[in-house]
Amino acid sequence: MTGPMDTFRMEAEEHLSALEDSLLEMEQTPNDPELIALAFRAMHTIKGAGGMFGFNDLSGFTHHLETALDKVRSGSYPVTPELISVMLDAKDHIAGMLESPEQTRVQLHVGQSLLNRLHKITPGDDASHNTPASSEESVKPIPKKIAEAAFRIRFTPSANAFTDGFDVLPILNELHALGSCYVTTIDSQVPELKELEPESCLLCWDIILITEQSIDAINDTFIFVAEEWQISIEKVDSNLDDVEYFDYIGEILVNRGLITSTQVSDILAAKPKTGELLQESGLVSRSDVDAALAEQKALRTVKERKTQSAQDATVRVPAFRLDRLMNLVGELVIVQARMNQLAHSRNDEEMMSVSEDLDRLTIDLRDNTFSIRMLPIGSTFGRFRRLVRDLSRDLGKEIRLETEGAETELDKVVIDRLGDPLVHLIRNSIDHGIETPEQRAALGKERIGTIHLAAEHAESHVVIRIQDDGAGINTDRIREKAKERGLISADSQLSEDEILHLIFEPGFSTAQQISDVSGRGVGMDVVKRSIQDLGGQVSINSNHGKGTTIKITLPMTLAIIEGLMVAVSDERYVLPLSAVEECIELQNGGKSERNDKRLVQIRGELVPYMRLREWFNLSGAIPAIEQVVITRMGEERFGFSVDEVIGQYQTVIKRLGKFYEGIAGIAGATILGDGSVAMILDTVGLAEAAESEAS
Amino acid sequence: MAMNITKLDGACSIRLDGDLTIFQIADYHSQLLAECQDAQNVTFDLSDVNEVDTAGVQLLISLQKQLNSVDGNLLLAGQSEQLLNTLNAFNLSGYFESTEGIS
Amino acid sequence: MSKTILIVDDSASVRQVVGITLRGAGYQVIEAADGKDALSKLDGQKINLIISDVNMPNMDGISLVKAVKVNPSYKFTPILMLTTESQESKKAEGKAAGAKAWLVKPFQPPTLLSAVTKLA
Repeated sequence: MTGPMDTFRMEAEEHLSALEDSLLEMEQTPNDPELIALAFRAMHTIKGAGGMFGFNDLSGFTHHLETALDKVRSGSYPVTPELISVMLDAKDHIAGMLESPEQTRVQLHVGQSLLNRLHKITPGDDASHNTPASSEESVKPIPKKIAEAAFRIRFTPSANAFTDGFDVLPILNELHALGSCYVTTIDSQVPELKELEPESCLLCWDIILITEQSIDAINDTFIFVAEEWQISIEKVDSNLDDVEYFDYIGEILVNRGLITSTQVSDILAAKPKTGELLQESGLVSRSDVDAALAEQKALRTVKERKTQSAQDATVRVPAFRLDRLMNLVGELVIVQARMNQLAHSRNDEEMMSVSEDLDRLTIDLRDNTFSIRMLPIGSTFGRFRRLVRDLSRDLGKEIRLETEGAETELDKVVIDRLGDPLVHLIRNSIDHGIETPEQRAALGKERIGTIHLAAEHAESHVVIRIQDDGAGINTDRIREKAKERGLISADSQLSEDEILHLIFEPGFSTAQQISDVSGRGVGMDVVKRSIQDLGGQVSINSNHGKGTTIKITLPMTLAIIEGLMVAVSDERYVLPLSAVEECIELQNGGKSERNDKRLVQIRGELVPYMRLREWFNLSGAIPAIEQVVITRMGEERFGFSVDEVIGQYQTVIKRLGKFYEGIAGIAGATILGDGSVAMILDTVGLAEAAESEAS
Repeated sequence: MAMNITKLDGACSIRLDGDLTIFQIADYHSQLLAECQDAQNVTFDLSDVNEVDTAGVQLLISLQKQLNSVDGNLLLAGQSEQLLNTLNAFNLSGYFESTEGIS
Repeated sequence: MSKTILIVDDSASVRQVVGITLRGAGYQVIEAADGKDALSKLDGQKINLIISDVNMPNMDGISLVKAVKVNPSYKFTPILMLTTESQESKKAEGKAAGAKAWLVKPFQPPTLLSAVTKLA
């Protein structure tokens, strides 16, 4: 098989002999255009192909001959015997040059003297002495990378772009390949179907590209359409540290020249969500706002990435200093709330406005402080990898650990206290879940078992899943065990799910024998308790033969709580909002005796509840209409009856002193705006305490 | 390569095989005009569409606008991988209502 | 689904090197030696891009462009013309005929691929 290089040589030789033939014939019939064209094409082809195979000198040399022949073809020069003899010598020279891309000094000299002879015959041609230079439209190699920057690219294709054979998709794909690309397709010029000229391009684009490539690389994307399309490419800002400046949609829109700043401030006087307001006012269209929003988002990303790359400049700070800062911020939030209350009660406009400003700052400060405490959960994943490797080796199993969402952030305290329960759950999966390679092979499963550890944000929570593709849980065995241990009565009717959740009951272990791994007296009940202490919940899902999934839901931080404030008598309490399902009214429910189990009917279902008034021995009469806050823990629901539901309340948790720690049902306290203290209730603990007292 | 349009009680159901590009666009546009001019609801099955170019997307946008103006609805019942890729590149994946919410 | 490119050049070596480059990048390549040969390959099969030399025997690149632009099945197919810098007048003629993208010969494979990705 011949390679392209051999093909090129063979072809060049053919062309050279065709050139020779035509030159010789030209001596007889000098003005035959066919012959001139043939000679021209021979030179043209050798030149074009030579350049591609690295014969640059040859390409440069033939360029001059081609130019000369072109002039002859167009009638600028006559065909003379001198011309033919120079051409024939040149042909022989080219044949010699084909031997190697590199030329000897003799060859270079011969070539130059040939060109001099040619120049004498065809004078006044500047181009003949210039080696070919690429024209403006040649596609340049992509330039060296520079620091990441954001570019705003706006382009409107010509109406006939599609019929010219240009599709926008390849261009967008190329831009996507250059970096992070935020595309806004603007459809405002596209009419309804009946007015549409379907072959005309009416769309235009607004793109933010964050790239390490230079503006030349972006320009290059539009090289074929630069003349006919409207294209504007600009660097958004040279200094991304100033990005804060662009955090406001209005400013972006002004910068884009879409509206004036006066228009923005007029509308802003009305109030927030600039984008929506401007849109409603009809000054800018939906897609304009979308494009500006895309830009805002893109710039934030750049900013975040900048921060990430600046991670080398981290400062290590002892944890206690962070705790102290947290505490101070907590106090500040409380004082701020008091000031706010004061300002309102005095109806002091000026003070209210100061208080509002302070409010914004305080919240910013609080959020920033919290974010300092956040760590990616991935920092603990390494430890599990090692655990899986060592344990599976001990047990003769082959297990692969897959992790996902390592970047999910959680409060440092939560991460620290999450370690042990997670270790236990993973141990369980390795020990009881995943079968031996032989068992797996017999079952037609892959020899290597998989444990999938995933973390993700879901609203204000973090969800962690530990999923294995092992044997799953045999619910029949759990049922037997539970009966054996008297956890359930022999004739109890429990759903599969309820049975599964029995493994969280204290003192439950289904291991056939106590191995080194599990059966250390740390059961699933302890796991459940630890997770609940963190304000979280555990649930289990198992498919016999297929595997088990344990789902842990945790609040992102322990230091702050989204609460529901309620009032009983003169006291205030806060219930974690995450647990609250609904609030209902209860009329004249207070007839039964204290020790009776109280039940409230909700849409046909009976839900147990307790009276906070009775539990905390508060004075005062039970109102005719009680409010019952229904909370949910896993599958169970439990209600708390109160006098009044005040509303949502976000607060910083203050840990109680040692003396109060461990009191059932109280998770902490918070100081209210008026300086009084409200207890934060541990709904799970309270429900359990109430249940055990009632039974 | 064809566009099949079935009409039922003022609703149009369209199925498209082959490409949706500049080559077919004029033809498809006139078919849509002829058949779906008064339709209020259009269900467009694009699960087997091959190549979709910018002209194709533009036609879908125009159809959507048409239906919006009569309080109608365009539903993409099924989107081929190629269509999804195209819409993603344009950042228009949420632009059309679709039955298959491929997340 | 890979895209199909028709390369039209009277130089077998150019066709070969372009073919190797494009196939290596995952394209299907059809070759034609001149304009006439190229038209015979436009038989209804799907072609995403035509790359053509300007100067060719039998039928040159400009005439090919004109013929493609009146063929209903290919009139919107993008065309990339290969040119040498000495053909400015040809270029104007070609643009008028409907060939909007031009690439200067000689070129290196990456340059060709970069041009092709902008069009198909």
